[in-house]
Amino acid sequence: MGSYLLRRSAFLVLSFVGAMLLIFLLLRVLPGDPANALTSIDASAEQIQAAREQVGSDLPLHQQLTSWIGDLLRLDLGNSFISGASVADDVAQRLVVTLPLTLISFVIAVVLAGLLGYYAAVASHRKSGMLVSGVAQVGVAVPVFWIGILLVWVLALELRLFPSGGFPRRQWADPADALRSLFLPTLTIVIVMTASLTRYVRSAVLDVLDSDYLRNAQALGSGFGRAFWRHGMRNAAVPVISILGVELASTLLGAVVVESVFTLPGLGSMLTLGIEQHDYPSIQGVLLVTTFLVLLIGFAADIVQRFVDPRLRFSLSGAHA
Amino acid sequence: MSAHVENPPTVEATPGARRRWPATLTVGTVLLAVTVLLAVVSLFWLPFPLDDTSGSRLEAPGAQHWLGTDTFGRDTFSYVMVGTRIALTVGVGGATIAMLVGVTLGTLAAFARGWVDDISSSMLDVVIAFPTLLLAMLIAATRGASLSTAVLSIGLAASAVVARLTRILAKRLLRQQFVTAARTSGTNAWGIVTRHLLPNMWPTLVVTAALTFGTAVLAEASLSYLGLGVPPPNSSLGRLLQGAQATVLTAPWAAIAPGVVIVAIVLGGNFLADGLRELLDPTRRERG
Repeated sequence: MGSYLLRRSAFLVLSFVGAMLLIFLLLRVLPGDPANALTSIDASAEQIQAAREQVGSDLPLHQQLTSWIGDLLRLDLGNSFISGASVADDVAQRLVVTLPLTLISFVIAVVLAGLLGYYAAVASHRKSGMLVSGVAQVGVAVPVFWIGILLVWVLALELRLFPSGGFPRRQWADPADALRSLFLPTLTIVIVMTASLTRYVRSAVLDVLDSDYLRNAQALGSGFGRAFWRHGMRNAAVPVISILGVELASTLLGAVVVESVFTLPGLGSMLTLGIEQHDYPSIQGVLLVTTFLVLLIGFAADIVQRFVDPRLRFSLSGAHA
Repeated sequence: MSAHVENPPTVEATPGARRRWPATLTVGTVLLAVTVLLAVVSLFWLPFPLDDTSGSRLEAPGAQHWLGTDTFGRDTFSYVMVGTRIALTVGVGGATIAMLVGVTLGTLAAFARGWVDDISSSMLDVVIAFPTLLLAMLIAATRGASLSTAVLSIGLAASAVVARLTRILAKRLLRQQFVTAARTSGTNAWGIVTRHLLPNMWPTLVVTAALTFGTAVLAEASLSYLGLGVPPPNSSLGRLLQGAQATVLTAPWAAIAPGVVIVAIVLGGNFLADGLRELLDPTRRERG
């Protein structure tokens, strides 16, 4: 386990460095000078040059890269071209909205999908079980923002049960108020993520139900519930845990889109605003933090998977078997 | 939101097995046929030209305007027809690019040995960790929104997943005895790929292509909802929904119809994938 942990950590660092380079290059090699954001269309050559010096885009690429990495090591993500505020502070402010939204939605979706997926597998030959899989099948084909629009229409505008968008200015000072604003966005993400996860849980449980060891345990006198609890759970959990990382990353991305529907001041709106205003430091900051979170999630999922499945613990394969 | 490859859908051909036509294949084909029809008709005929503002503002659906009108008095149904065409274009174009790039890279990576193999598979993992939508947003943001940017960015972003799947499939095949036999009898790499790898991988790849099509359509919808997709006047379905959000109380139909079309297209692609998997792999027939 120890050497695996070491190897997997090294891979985490390497992949983050790779992602950093990818973001850096994509934002600089592609046409369009970052300094354009600072200048008007009819700016003079001197103004453009001044803007380039201010942004640093007049330096050769390798110098830009080294100074950027130096800043990153000091956790300095630069300053916004538009507001001049520190990007790191802005990101931290917005994580206060995006992280709770992502995590709350994810936990609820995992619990619901566990129950629904188990039911859909056990009742796979009954109408009710088929109904659950059918609804899940449709659910994965629905764009997440459309669910958001429909929920706003019915629950916020017609029935006036919840606010249609926004987040309290004092953030979590009044937790009840904050949670009320997060209710509809959370429900939106939960619907889509539950649909996606339910299909994985159902298929994992179906595999276990087919297995010889479960039939043997029952033949030796265990009731179905006891046999499934003792032998089935762990085996069904392995494939599900392996996709949980991808699904959590996907929840984070769903949050980014859903924030636009509900005008929440999270990472998603920071990204879309940054793109609209060509504010490269902001775009870069959001992408870096999001990618880092996604890679970290993948790392955690791999470690947990090893923990649950001893067969993997003793295999010799590396981080990417 | 992105396709998963943790459990690659392997397909092993069973010669001579009796093949039944799966119901999912019929449903998927019908859903896609209806939307394709809508898209093809939109090339030759629209109920109203896109710049026709003769209708009254936010008219309810009726005999003239089947899905009512928007705030400028334009016909919503005409816009939905054009949006359907764009969604299908991005879906097919994105999936084609993803498959061409992904299968090529994945096959090359499968032949790699030692540290080249380690590095190429690690790089794929890094790109996969970058979610499709983020990568597409990044490319669209730096290149400016257009139809070709949307197709290209979504296709490239989705190709990493295809590449990883192809690499796993090809590596598995390269260990088989018939490949070793072909190699020892002097078949070169090109011959191995065209005569042994591709014929054995295509059933799985076809299923993957159908799933990627759905992913691409959903990604385009999200991109254009955020204002990064296909720009006006080619109003795409995501942009229509964004516009309809503000008037959902007075004109709910405009916020419903584009969404229904997106679901029909994606569901059609997913059903097609399920059906093809069943048709091509009899051992999986039990699963719906």
